[in-house]
This record gives sequence, structure tokens and C-alpha cells, in this order.
Amino acid sequence: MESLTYLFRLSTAGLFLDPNAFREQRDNPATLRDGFLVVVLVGIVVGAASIIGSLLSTLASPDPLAVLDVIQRGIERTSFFAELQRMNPAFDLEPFFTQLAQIVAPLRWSGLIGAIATPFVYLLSWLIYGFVAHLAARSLGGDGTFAQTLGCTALASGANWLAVVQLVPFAQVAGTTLLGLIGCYLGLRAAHNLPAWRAFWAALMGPIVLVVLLILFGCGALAVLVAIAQGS
Amino acid sequence: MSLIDTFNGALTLNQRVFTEMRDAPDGVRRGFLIILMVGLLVGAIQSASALINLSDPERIVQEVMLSYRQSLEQQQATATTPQQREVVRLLQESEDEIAQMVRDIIAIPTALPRPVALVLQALGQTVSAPLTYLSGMLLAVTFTHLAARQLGGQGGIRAMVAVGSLSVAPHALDALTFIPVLSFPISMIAWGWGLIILISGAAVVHRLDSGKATLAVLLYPSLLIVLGILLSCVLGLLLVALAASV
Repeated sequence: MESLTYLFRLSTAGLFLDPNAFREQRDNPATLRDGFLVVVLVGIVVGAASIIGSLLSTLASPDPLAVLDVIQRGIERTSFFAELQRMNPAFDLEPFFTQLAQIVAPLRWSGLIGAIATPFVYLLSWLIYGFVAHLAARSLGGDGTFAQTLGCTALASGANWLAVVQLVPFAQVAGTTLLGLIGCYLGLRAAHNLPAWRAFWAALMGPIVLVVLLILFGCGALAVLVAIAQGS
Repeated sequence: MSLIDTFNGALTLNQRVFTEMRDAPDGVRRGFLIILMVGLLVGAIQSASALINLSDPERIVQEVMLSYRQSLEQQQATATTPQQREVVRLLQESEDEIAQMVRDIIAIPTALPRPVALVLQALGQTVSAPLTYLSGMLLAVTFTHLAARQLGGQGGIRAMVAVGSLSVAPHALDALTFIPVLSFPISMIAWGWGLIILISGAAVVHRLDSGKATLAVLLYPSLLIVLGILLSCVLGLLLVALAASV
């Protein structure tokens, strides 16, 4: 239990951007293990809160298929629909709404699946971000080890404590990404003894790489779609 | 210093409070507590107001139909062809059916009783409010901090977040925005007051004069606005050129 208390204190120090906690984490011999446990702890708690919130919001919301059914019957009663059917007697909303129902039905469980995946997503994004940020920090003159980078950036995942509000159904989470990035900046500064601007660019390198990759991926996907459309 | 004293000090631009928040090791925690306090107050009052509105289904129907009519009026004003006018006329004729559809959607049963579902929605709205304020404050503080450092400021981001949190204090006034006539002026007062606190905070954290601190707060938002205007002009020109070539 004491270990859990320690991990909780470590993660909340990250949430409140405590510079001493980042420095202590840099000099901690078990920095990687503790960082890993912090990310897992936050992920599990946020995931559990999200599961409860997701279940409650499902119970408090009407069945989406019933909503679609009401909308279809409602549109079919309008004079606009009658006019469309007068112009084209074969016009029918049924195929469109059947397709829509097929899309909506699995989406009902997307919140629950997302909640279960939360700890794994947090871990994966921490490792990928830590790897990119470490390369950037080292290339900018940083002197920290990979374990120190991961240990310090793990504290930034304390910002995800804010996502625990998902325990309440219909609650909207905001501010975790920016607060996490500020935490990462402090973490990289502490781990690599970098000056402010270099730590800033090292912290931003991960998101910049991600945006560039997304743009490249989007352009590639668009080019493939255009090629397929021209081919057919 | 207690939370209420810090809150009052922020509202009265008390320099001692700003300096203490800058130097306090737990400044960020105290700043976040102020945001939590203001957010929960505003969120609770606004969601209670929404709850009263939502408890009467016919009121929801009337609000939806008002938006529907306004949207059709706009479409009617911009309709240029007889076909477009005919579509708008048919949609106007369907008003009763649309109202009935909204009533039917509201009447769909939920697993939890409707009052419980409404209370949960209000609770969700209440707890979301502090995070909305936090996110807005962090964005403003980050841009201000970057500009302040470029203008020769020496403060750290942690101190800037702590002091910047004080700029949320005047938003307690947002709790009164449920009053229809006062909504806009109150929001503007809260926003302006918050801006002044952010400027004073930036001056204290980065040890800048008030001119440079004002520039630090307004620099990036102004640049973004100018960039947005330029981009929309370029986009407009491109669209005109495209329309002319077709």
C-alpha cells in the first residue's frame, strides 16, 4: 500500500508540475520501473473510471437504434418525403437507415472498448513519445540516459489524472494534452539538463513528427484513393 | 494565504498575491484549486439552469423548432433558384411532423429513469466546466510564456501556470450568464478582467514592464487572427478563381 501511495504522490507531483519531483525522478536509481508503474497506475484508474462512466451513460441514453427508427418514421411522414416519392416512386429510406444502423450498432460499445484499452494506449504513447523525445534531446545536446528520459516523462502522465472525471457520465475531458506536454518539457529539462528553448524543441519534436507522419499518411491515402478512382 | 484570500487578491490585482503565487512551491496546486472552485460554481449553476429547462419536454421541442425555423429563414434568404425555394417551402410545411419527431425521440425510454438520466447529464456538465477553464487557461498561458521569453522574460512555465490560473477567478461571473439579457456583457467583463490579470501575472512572473507584458499576452492571438484573415482571403481568392475557370 505504501508503494501505491508513493506512486500516487509521484504522479500528482507530475500533475502539479513540481520541479523537485522531476529532479528526484532523474536521480532515482529505479526511475524506469517507477515511471512504468506510474503510467500503468494512472492508466488503470482512468480506464476503470471510464468503464463506469461509459456504462452509466449507456444506461442514461436512449437506444441509438430506436432513435434512428423514430427519425426514419418521422422523415417518412413529412411532405418533403412525400414530394420526393411522388417524383420518384422507387425512392426509399430503408436501405440508407439499415446501413446507418449497421454502423451505429457496434459504436455503442466503442466507449467501453476504448476504456479497456486505456492503460495500453497510455503505455504505448509514453514509450513512443519517450523514444522520439530522447533522440531529440540527445541531438540538442542533452546528457540524460534513455531510462532517465522515460522516468521523467512518465511523471507527465500525471496530467491524465484529470481524465478520471469520466467516472461521471457525459463529462468532457480537456486540457490533459497541453498539461502533459508542459510536464514532458519539465521532465526533459530535468533529465537532460537542457536550457529552456532546447528542452522546448525536444518536447515538441514528438508531436511535430506525429503531425508530419499524419500529413504524409493522409496524402498517401488520398493519392491511393485517386489512383483507384482513376483506374476504375 | 487561504484560497479565498488568493481569489480576492487576484480579483483586486494585488501584487503581493501574484508574487506569492509565483514563488510558492505549491502555486500550481493552489491555482488549480481556484479553477476547480470557479468551474464547479459556474458548472453547477449553469447545469441547474439547463436541468430546469430540460425537465419540461415541450420546452425542448419549442427550442428545437425555433432553431429549425431560424435555419429555414436563413436558407430562404439565400435561396436563388425556384427549386431551392420549393425545397424550403416543403420543409416549412413539414414543421408539425418534425416537432412530433422530436417529441417521439424524447419519449424513447432509457434504462435509467428519465429524472436520473437528466441529473447525470447535469452532473457531467458540472464537472466538465473546470476542465474547460483549465484548458483555455493553459493555452493562453503557453502562448503568453513563449512570447514573454522571446521579449526577454526570465520566468519559468511552472510559475506562469500558477499565476495564470488566477486569470480564471473573474469567470466566477459566468455563473450569472443564465440570465438571458446579461449573458453577453457579463461574459465580456469576465474575459476582459481575466485578460488584465493575465497581463499583470505575466509582468510579475517574467519581471517585464506592463507594455511588454501586454504585448506578450496579445502577440500570438493577434498573429493567429491576422493569419486567419489572410488565409481566408487567399481561400476566397482561390474559390473565385476556381469558379471563374469553370
